[in-house]
Amino acid sequence: MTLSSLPLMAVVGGAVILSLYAGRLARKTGLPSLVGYMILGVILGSSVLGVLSAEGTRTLSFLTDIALGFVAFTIGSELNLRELKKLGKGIIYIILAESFAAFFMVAGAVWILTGNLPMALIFGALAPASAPAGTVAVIQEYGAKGKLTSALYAVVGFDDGLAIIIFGFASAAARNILDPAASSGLMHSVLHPAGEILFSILAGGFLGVLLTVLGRKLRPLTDVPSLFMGFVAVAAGIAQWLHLSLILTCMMLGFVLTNTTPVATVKSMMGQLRTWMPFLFIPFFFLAGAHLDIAALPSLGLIGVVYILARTAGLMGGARLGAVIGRSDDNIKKYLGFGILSQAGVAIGLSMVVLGQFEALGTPEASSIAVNVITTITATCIIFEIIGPIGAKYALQKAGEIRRKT
Amino acid sequence: MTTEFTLLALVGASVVTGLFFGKAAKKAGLPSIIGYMVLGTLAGVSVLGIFHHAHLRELAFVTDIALGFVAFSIGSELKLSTLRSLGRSIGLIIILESTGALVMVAALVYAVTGDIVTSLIFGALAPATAPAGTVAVIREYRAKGRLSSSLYAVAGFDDGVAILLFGFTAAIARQLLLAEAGLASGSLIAGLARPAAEILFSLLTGGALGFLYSYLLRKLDSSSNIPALTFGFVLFGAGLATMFHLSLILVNMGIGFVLANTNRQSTVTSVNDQLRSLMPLLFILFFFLAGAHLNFAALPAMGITGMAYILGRSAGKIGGAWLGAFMGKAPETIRNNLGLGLLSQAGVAIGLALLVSQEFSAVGTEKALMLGSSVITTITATCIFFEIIGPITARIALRNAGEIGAD
Repeated sequence: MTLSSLPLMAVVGGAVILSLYAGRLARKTGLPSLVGYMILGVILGSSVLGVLSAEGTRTLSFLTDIALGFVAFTIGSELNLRELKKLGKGIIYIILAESFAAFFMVAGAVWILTGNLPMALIFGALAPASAPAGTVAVIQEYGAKGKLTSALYAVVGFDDGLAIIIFGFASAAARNILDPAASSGLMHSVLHPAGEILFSILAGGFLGVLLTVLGRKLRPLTDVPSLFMGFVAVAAGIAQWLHLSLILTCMMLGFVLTNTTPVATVKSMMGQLRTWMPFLFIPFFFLAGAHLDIAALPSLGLIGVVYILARTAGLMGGARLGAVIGRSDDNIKKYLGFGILSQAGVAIGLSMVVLGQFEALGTPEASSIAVNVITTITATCIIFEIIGPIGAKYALQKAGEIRRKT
Repeated sequence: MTTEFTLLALVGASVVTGLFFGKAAKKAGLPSIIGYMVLGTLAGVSVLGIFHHAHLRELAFVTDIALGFVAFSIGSELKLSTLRSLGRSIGLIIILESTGALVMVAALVYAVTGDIVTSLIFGALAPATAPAGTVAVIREYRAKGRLSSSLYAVAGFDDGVAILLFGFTAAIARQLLLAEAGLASGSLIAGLARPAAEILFSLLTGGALGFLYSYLLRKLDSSSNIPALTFGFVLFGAGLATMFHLSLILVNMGIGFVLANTNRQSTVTSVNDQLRSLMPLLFILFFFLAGAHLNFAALPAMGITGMAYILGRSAGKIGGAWLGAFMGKAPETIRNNLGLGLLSQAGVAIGLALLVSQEFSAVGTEKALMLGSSVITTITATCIFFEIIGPITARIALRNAGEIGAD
């Protein structure tokens, strides 16, 4: 019991209570509850009241990891291969098209604006990354069900893998342009992200098999939350430790479980978790809010505005294009793009990677690009974190997949 | 940063492994929490050292949260109508098992050491009970009946009595110590006022939070928000308690108590139902960490004083509960079994022992310093005994009373 942890517990407790009312207020104005949690986080966080200090949010970062792990786990558990086949090949086209379109639109727009190719490549590389938590929380809050919902789960889950690949290539290319001598070879830059994805899938898959075997032996269902919690923490911890993708690793955990276990069993297992989800979402989103540095907003500048517009256009246009090519359902064609706009931790994390890599290059140009990227991405994430869930709700509503009136 | 994430993986692996250690314990006819503790011991400082002191410090908040929930659930079981039907025997039992433990330990320790200050200090530590073990066993076996209700009431309120007795006795011991050394002593009243204020403010805080909680609970628009609201209040209560040095157990018990007594039974039941899926995880973590803290290297330090403490405390608790039940005309099942359910002793006692050694090192005489450190090592050793034996005897008590349903 260190002294600094004492008030923190009371702060978190108080914040959870207040979040319930912030969430209710948000719903009254037609917004998803999590927007309310986030705004509360912004108010409590270091940029306004400072009740939740930067150090406090760092101490609580494990909560964010576990919550994100659970989100990915939930996504994986929704990806039943039989269901996915019903969605058809369309889903693959959509993932490819929305990710690449976001990359090319942003890279092109930033290049036209600044004429700086390495910078354009980096911004483009960050554009495909999406934040699944917002979309999943909205789906769960409104008890959404249907084709669009399944498609959203699949897209926000798998596009993390593609985003890592695109980022790996593009950032390597950008470094090559800036300093041809220092580059570690294109082979390395291909192998590195590929290895990350492969090992994430292997680690998650292995843990998933273990979870399935142990889960079968477990009789009272009341033990299920402990088992899931344990496995998600292991997967998240290993992912962080080996620098794997937390989202992919935890997603595989759920994916293996759901595809090797009878549907009814999975349903009753996940039912046990339902009590837990609000619990995980609330701290997750108010911590996300507390992280947001409102002071960064003015630095948004022209590049930021262009990034927001181009990414939105790329994701929505790409999703539509993919759906048309793959002959997906009408609702998917029209609305899927609205549901995948969130962007948060992963993008900021990737821009930290950029900062590390570019400062290692040691040229002033590289450093200035890196700093530019990190401030701009922080600012644009604020916008995307807020419009993302709103867009997701709009999409589900328009597609008529919202079951629960609140 | 890397170690922090490894810790996440370690905690996760412990929870998964713990589940199966719990099953193994159950097969061996022991409460599951014994399995969690054994695993914790293996992984902890005594054996493998996977979880070392820095880890345990980082995870201390888990213990506070779990204890907060235990206290909350104790409070929520204490309906005034139930308490009234249990009769005044409960009050007598609480007072007699606490003072019984104090008197017996003080007498036995005096017999082996011949030192009045030492015997008073050990006596002061004896009444404290660790409610988590008892509550976990009741929950695991879904025990119901007069003994279970009495155990909730006694294990909960006994914290208040223990604080009072400790404050009072420790103040006297300190006084004697100062007098022996020929130093000026402060007033005895101050030694009494502080624990009394601690209890009063704990109950007031818990009560106020409880009314706010119940009010907000009734106004909640969806029952799916119940766990979050409860979690928030338990955390807030635990945070306030540690911040202002109140009793975490009494504050959170107060929240649960007000809930149970100002709401319809259906509301209370729905709160408890929603928490049912949460408690197993908390128990695994709590007892795993408790096991990881156990330092078996301390066992040899127990010595003859430790033996006297163990004997005296067990005899005092069981005998005191028997006497209280006898005088209060409680049924025989309670008379014979209740004391067995109260033997757990853990973190609270070690915390109090730390307090003693801090106060005594402020006194500064050689005897005070020696006494301070011997109290910590001895209590650490005896807690190993009581933490393991407590849940086992609690299960025996419930089984004797026939309150363990068909499993």
